[in-house]
Amino acid sequence: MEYVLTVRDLTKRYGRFTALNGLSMSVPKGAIYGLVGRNGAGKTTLIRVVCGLQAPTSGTYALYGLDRKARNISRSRRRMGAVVETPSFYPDMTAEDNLRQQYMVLGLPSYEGIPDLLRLVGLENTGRKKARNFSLGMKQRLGIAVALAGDPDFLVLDEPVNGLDPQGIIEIRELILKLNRERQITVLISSHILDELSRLATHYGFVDSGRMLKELSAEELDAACRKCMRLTVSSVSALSRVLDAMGVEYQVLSEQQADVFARLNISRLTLALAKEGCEVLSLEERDESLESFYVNLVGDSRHG
Amino acid sequence: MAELFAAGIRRMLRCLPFRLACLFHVLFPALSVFSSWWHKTHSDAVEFLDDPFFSFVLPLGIVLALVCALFLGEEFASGAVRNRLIAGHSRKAVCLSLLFTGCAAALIFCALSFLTGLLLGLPLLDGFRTGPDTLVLYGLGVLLLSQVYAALFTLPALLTDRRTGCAVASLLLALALLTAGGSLNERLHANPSFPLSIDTMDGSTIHMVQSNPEYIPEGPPRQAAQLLYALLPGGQAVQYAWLQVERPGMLLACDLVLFPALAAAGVYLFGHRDLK
Repeated sequence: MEYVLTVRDLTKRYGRFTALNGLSMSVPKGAIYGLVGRNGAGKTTLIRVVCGLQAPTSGTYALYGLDRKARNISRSRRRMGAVVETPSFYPDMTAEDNLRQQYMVLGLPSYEGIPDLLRLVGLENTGRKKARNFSLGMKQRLGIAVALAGDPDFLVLDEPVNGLDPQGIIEIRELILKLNRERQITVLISSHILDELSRLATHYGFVDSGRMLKELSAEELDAACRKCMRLTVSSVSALSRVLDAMGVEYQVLSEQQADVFARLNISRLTLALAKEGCEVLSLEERDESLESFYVNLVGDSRHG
Repeated sequence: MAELFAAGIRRMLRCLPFRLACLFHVLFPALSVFSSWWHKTHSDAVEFLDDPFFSFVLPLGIVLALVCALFLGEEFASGAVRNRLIAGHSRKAVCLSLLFTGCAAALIFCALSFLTGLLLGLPLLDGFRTGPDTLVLYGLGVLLLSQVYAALFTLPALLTDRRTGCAVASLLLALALLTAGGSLNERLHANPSFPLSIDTMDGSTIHMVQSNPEYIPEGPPRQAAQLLYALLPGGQAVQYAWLQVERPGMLLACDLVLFPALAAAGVYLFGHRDLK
């Protein structure tokens, strides 16, 4: 598999605080890689280091196979764009002027691509409106447009939907999917909004306390997320006795509810429960969500 | 780096503090010339252009402190510096392009002041008292001093994200440099002693000579003070503005040492800075 970004044993310390603790990860080409972690897990620090804004204390990373200290690393950096924390633009300029400025910084010979870029992010009708008067979602899209100047094929987005309203979140999601599908742009996206990430990501990296807990693809995650059956019964103690006798894994949720992690013959279970004098009040099939997978993963790593 | 410099200039031209500073560098010499002309018309005295021509050098440091801090502060706050690094430009290139943008602004301020002084001063006043060679030397010195000021005030702005704090600190530094320059000028031009007359009880007067505590004695202390006077941008500003340049070559040499030293310090410190 071809990787756009590979990170090896990356450590970043600020005084006595360790923000990244030997983190390793690989972002495959063409992926939407979701970096999952709570606030302070090290996501933004990782992005800052990868973008060259901060130097790692130890460890290294490679962009398109080029080590960060390679002489021509700037060529690899030219192929990436990023929005780190807040979108970068001049508030006293229009969207078009901001893009002209970025084109100038990149030394691009003409401004021909600007109308297309504005259309791509849905800012083609902003005219003379200054960026400071844009909505939060428009500002985020302008930040992405600035990052897309120069046609990069690797886009790094740090918490791109933070603070956006539902409409703004949908717009950013659709834009990211469009960039990935139509322009084959690899996207590294950090977020702690797991539900949103689960609608986008093709690969996941779970980060906690500056360490990579697990990396897996969306398919692997689906397989790893256990299916379960949520039973609501009149007596959970009777249910426990029956399930123990069947040798089935389960988790009691309340005095009436339990999750059962196995495929059961419902008729057999109902008959067995009836013998114990227990009624089945309801039954539903459930998938373990990205959220519960993450919670289990972080919980295991902290307790183990 | 040329593209970064061009982008920096494009931004600088739109920067409000820069525009206000340009206005100041037209108005200040204009007012100085008009003041001299007013004095001339009301006293029939000969008024040369020299004094108003170089008067802008005194507040130049203060103006550049504010412009550099506010302009670079905006560059950091808007994420423009971050964008340049992400786009693959080296830290050295980004740092030097910002420094040269500040230097260009300083040159524009000087050019505006000189032009205004010449355009208004030549028809209204009695020409230059100073000879053309000295005038060119002074002009060159002022341009070099403006570059040192730009490098000096770019340095703190490169090292912090706090725009207002940086502007205040730079302003205080500029004022401190000017005060130090003025104080050194006063002490270096002080008399070694002054006469003292004491009237006694019997009606007679005793004349004596009292040594001046402000006077810096000859030898190493005076040499050190003279070096500091030449080295400090505030000291140089005082010398050019008051046309009291005793050793112009020394001032130029100091600037030629100071500018690369400040630029190198900026490149080194910015190169090791963690950016957000």
